[in-house]
Formats: sequence, C-alpha cells, structure tokens
Amino acid sequence: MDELIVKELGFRFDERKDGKQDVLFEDFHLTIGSGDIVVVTGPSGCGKSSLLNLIAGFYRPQHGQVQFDDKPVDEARVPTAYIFQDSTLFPWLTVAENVAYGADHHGRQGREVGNKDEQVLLLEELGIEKQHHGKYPHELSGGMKQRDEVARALAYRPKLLLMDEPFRSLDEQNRKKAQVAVYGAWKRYKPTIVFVTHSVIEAAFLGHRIVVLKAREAMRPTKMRETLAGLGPDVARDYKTTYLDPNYLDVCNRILAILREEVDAQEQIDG
Amino acid sequence: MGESGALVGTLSFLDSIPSLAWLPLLLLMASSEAIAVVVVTAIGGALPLAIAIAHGISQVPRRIELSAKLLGASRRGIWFGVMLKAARPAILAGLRSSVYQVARTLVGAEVIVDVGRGLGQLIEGQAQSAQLGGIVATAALVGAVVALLDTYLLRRLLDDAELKWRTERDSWTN
Repeated sequence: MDELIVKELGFRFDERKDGKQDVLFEDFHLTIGSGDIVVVTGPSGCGKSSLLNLIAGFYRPQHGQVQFDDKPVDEARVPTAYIFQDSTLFPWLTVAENVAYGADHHGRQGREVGNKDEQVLLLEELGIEKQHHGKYPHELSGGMKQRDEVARALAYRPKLLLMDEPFRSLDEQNRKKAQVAVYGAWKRYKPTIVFVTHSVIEAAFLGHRIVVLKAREAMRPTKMRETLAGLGPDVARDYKTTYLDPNYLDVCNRILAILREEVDAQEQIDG
Repeated sequence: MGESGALVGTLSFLDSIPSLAWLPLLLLMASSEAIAVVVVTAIGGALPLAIAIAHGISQVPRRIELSAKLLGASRRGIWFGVMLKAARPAILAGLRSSVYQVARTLVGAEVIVDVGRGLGQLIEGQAQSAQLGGIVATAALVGAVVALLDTYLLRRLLDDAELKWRTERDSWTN
C-alpha cells in the first residue's frame, strides 16, 4: 500500500540540434516503501534531480511509469510537496501566509492538514521565531527563506515529499535544525520522502535507505551504484547525540567510500 | 516560451502602429464618432498593458507555477492568484505606459473628431479662437492629471512591488 514504484523508467530529452539525444534513464527501477525516507545521492550530473522531476510528474517518461499506491502517480492524485533548490516563496505573502497557503488550499479540499498552531510550531522548529512570521520574503536571509519553504511544504502534510537539496544554502547549525525538523514532521505523520543531497552527513542522518547513483557519461543513462541501509526508522534522531552515534558514523563512512569512487569516476569522465 | 514569444511579438507589432492611425478605419466602421474615439483610446491603452502582462508572465519561472499546483491551487487560482501576482512589477510598469498612451490617444482623437466635448475638443475650440494661453493651460492640465496619477498611485505601487519582488526575482533568475 502507498508504495512508490519507479518502474522500467525510460526518459530522454528532445533531440539536440546535432541530432544526438541525451538518454537519462533506461529501464530504471526503484521501489520505495510507504513512509520510507530514501536519500538519493551521487556525483554532479548523475541524474538525481531529474529522477525527482520524473517522480513528481514534471517530466513525462517515454517508457515505464512512476506509480504510487499501484496507480500512475498523476492518476493517484497523491498530495505531494516538492522543495526546489531555488526559492518558490510568494513575495506578496508574509512568512506565516506562505506557510498557510498550501495548508489552506489542501484543507479546503477536505484533507487533514496542519492547523495554525502546527504551522507556528513548524516555523519555530525550523528556527524562525515569532517576530519573523509577519515579514515578507525580501526581508529574510537566504537560509531563513529556505526554512520557510520547508515549513510551507510540511504544513499541508503531504503523503509524498520530494526535496531537491533543500538545505544547501543553510549554515551547519541551521542545516542540522532543518534535518531534525524534517525528521520530526516525518515522525508525526509518516510521509514518503525522497531527498536528494550531496551531503553525506545529511544522507546518513535522514535516510532509512541511501541510493547512490553512478557517475554518468554524457548521453548515457543513469545507473544505480548501490543501495545502502541507513539508520532504521525506529532509531531516534537527535540534534545532539545522533551525530556522535557510532552507527551513524558507520553509515557516513560507507556512503563516503562509495561516493568517493563515483566522484573520482565522474572527474575522469569529465576529463 | 515559444507561444508567449509569438504573442508578445504580435502585440509589439500592433503596438508599433500609432493608435490614431486606426481612427479613420474606426470612423468608417463605428456607428458613432464617440464610439470610434472610445475604441481607439482603448486600443492605445490596452496594447502596452497586454504586452506587459504577456511578458511578465513569460518571465515567471515554471517552478512557481508547479509549486502553486502542488500547494493545491486551482487552475484559476494559479493564473489569477499566482502568475498574475508574480508578474505584478512588469504589469504595473506596463500600466504606467498604458495610462500615458490613453491620455495621448484620447486627446489626439478628440482634437481630430468632433465629439462635442472633452479636453481635445476644448483645445480645438481654443485653437479656432486663437487662445494660445488656453491651449497651453489645457495641455498642462492633461499632463498634470496624468503625472499626479502616476506619481501618487502607479509609481508607489510599482516601487512597493519592486521592493518586495526584487530578491525573489533574483533567485527566480538563478
């Protein structure tokens, strides 16, 4: 039930002027269990963000399909949140109004969403204190905007949460706060999360499973290098202790070892 | 982008034709001269605004639209609640040039066509009776009304939108 299945996925971009076609995926498979947190990592250009775009339905695959709960993802009408690398906050709305936007719209459609108290709690968990809730995005720092964006996504309790390097512009302290807040929201209502990142510590902290994609040659399809088990869903994530946990450090080291090989391979490919 | 580029191109071509050039055609087609003046003024004002709307919307990144859709906005809500608002600085800039264009076209058309009243007709009457001071005063009145509207309403709205939208637009273009 509610499994996310990427099935025999084939996707290529439109033919270029030189007649070549960039084949991004060919017979690609990935199954993500209901309520799992899967982190996708790999060298730059390996197809992580494109995979997320295909899962979200922003790209249409030429072969295969993405299914959620045994239905094609666009027919399943699954409440989905997508956090892009760059801001999508609405500049005419305040911090609090931006957070309420998705919750209000989904709430009107009869879905159970976070109420005002939960929205305030989310903002505070993400380090945005009350005095900032009435500010407009142009009055916020880049990191604060990104955290507001995360709060907006979590506030309407999506069943599928897709995140494309959402914390890349945050400093270390706020990055950890954001990771803990995402995990806290996951514990409350268990969405399925696909999280793309270059950060090993982020992957090890959040991922129940970590998918490492192989280095990719131009025009050649993306391949999966390895799927690693992360900290289990029952292991508590904590701001102070998790980063010192030997199991967490072991996951970090395993990801790092594989990722280092793939980054080296990508450098060789890129010349 | 292709479709909106073609739309902006077509509108820009139509806008390059002085709106008063349509007046003879409209006088032949319309049932009254007053209607012809109203229509030619509407054409003069609508084109810069339409170009600004089409251009402004084409500059809104696709991820804003996708984001609004995932956040649960309806199709209508995406267009009126998000895309038009996201394009607001461009639309307000277009509205400013539209107001100037309306004033120019209206007064010009009223000078040419006798509709019985209006500032253009007043200027025409003053010209007939060689009241040079009156012509200058009426022209200055038209300029002052438009300038006041621009300074105290449109410019303020545009400045506010420019301020709020600026940083977001920077990240939109990244």
